[in-house]
Amino acid sequence: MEKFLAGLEMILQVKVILFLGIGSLIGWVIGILPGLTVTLGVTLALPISLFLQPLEALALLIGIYQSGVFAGSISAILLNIPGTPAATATAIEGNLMTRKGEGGLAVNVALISSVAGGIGGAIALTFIAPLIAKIAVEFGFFEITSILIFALMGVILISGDSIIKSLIAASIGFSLSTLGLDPVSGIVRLTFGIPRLIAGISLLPMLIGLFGLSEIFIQFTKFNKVKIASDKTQFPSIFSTFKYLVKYYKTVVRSIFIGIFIGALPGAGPGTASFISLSEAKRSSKEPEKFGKGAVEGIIATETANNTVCGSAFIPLLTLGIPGDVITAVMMGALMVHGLRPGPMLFAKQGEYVFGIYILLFLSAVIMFFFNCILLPFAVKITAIPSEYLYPVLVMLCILGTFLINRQIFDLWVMLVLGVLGYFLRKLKYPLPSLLLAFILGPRFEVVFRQSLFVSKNSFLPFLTKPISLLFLVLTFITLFVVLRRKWLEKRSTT
Amino acid sequence: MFLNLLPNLILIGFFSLYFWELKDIMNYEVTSSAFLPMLSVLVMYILNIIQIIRKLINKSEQIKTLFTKDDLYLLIVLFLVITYIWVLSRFGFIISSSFFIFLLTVFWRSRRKPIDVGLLISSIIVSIGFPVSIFYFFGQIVKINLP
Repeated sequence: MEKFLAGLEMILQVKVILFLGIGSLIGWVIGILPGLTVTLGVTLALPISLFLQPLEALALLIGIYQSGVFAGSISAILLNIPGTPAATATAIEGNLMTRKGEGGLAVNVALISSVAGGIGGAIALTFIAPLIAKIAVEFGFFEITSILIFALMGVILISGDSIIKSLIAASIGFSLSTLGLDPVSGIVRLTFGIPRLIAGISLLPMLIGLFGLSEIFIQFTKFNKVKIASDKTQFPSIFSTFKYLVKYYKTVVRSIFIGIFIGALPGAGPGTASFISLSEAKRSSKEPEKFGKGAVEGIIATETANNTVCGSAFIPLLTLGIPGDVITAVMMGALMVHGLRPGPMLFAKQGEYVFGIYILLFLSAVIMFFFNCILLPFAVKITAIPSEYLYPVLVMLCILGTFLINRQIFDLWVMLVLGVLGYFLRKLKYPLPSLLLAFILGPRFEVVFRQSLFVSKNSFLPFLTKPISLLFLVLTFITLFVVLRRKWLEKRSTT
Repeated sequence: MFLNLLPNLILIGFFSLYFWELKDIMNYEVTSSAFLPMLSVLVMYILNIIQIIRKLINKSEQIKTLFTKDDLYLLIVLFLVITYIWVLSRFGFIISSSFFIFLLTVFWRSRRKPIDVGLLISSIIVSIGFPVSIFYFFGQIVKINLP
């Protein structure tokens, strides 16, 4: 209770609320603009967050995340162009409603569902995370190694279409993480004669290069022709939309549970949650005939689930120090640069920040609602921002953001090289989340894996004799089996 | 065919270089500094060889458009970015950013429509206005001096 009050006191400050509002606004604009993703938004905001207090920084990033995930649905519904990958499922039913002249209603439904999902995710995080953290405190090297193997394999298996490509991406990420000082012995390795590589590659140039610059490069070469939505979209009163939330309350509850489960899994993000939720809603609906013709229930299912993930994705991050997706990896970077190490000890040592995150997630859903009550009629105009001005300015922000981290030109070259690498990997369909997660978890894995073997005198047996360790290794094999079987069945059905 | 195999060959090349860099600390003990990097090289070799074999056997695995005309545009963008980074520390943020945004805006637009006076004027406004406001924001509000 003490820590909750301390967290509340830290949150209820003008600057924190202000940065949450600014983050919501940035996320809203980025989410609406097709081609710009929430990942790009949080990545570009990360360098700025370095100069803020920890909770101000988190307020900015959480605001962008939550608001961006919702706003992606606006262009998905009105233009049939998902503003973010998470809104792809929303486009299915949402754009059909727009064609029927109900685009405004569809966006309103998406908003209240997103708010419900955001609050659901925050509540789930509040109750589930402390329970897992209590258990996780007892984990030793063997257990942590097995959990990291499970998390890495989860990301590798779920990201992208090809497991081989995902494994290659993860190997590249791991190899990049090994450059510089060995985290266990302190030996200098793999510097390629470049003294600046002794300290290794920093996370932030990596994030900005891989997820910022490479995404902009893709947009440059894609030659996007953005459709402009009709300015005549009518938005009915938001309060009249609440009746749909009451009517389809079972769908809301089901979607929240799907969002909690999927969000807590490493590798699966809001996009996966919304597709699963949509198919479940259709399967158990009393009006299945409405699906495929513009069903309100479909939008409720997708938007509730993907915004629930915003909260539940923090569960593995805060309790085990394992980011489940790229955005929580960015959040992890933000926490670490402010001296907050995610993991079970965070609850014991700096619990007020954990409570701060719970409250921020809740508040960001509320702020998102009030913001959109005012801003929704202007949403259509945002899509008309000319790309020829937008992308050059974004490249400049990538360069400026990277420079601000250490004020080193070397970081800019690293970012540029990784931007080009990211561009070709995207083009060749190698999943970048696998690369990033391996880069982030690699050093930690190397430390706990080698320390486990030091303790066991090079014996692998304790990995199988310790119950938690064994459990996660078994889960890894089950996941591997399920994914391989599904791929085999898919291949068989196509041939 | 060679173009289709190029990504895998490049990766094998890079990882051979990476393996060569491990020569000074080469040690096959599981707890050594070199073990996991070596394992990573081994995994890369195996996976890339699998991909090469699959591409050679199965034509549907081949990528027909590894390099397209659009990549030439990327080369120009890259040239501009490299020049921008090089110039940034020498001429300062405002001048280098203004030129960079102006050139990139004009280049981006020229791919769609002919360049007119209106575009040039609006590009000049954006390319000077944005860096100046960023410079002011960081200098006066965040108290960070940009070069």
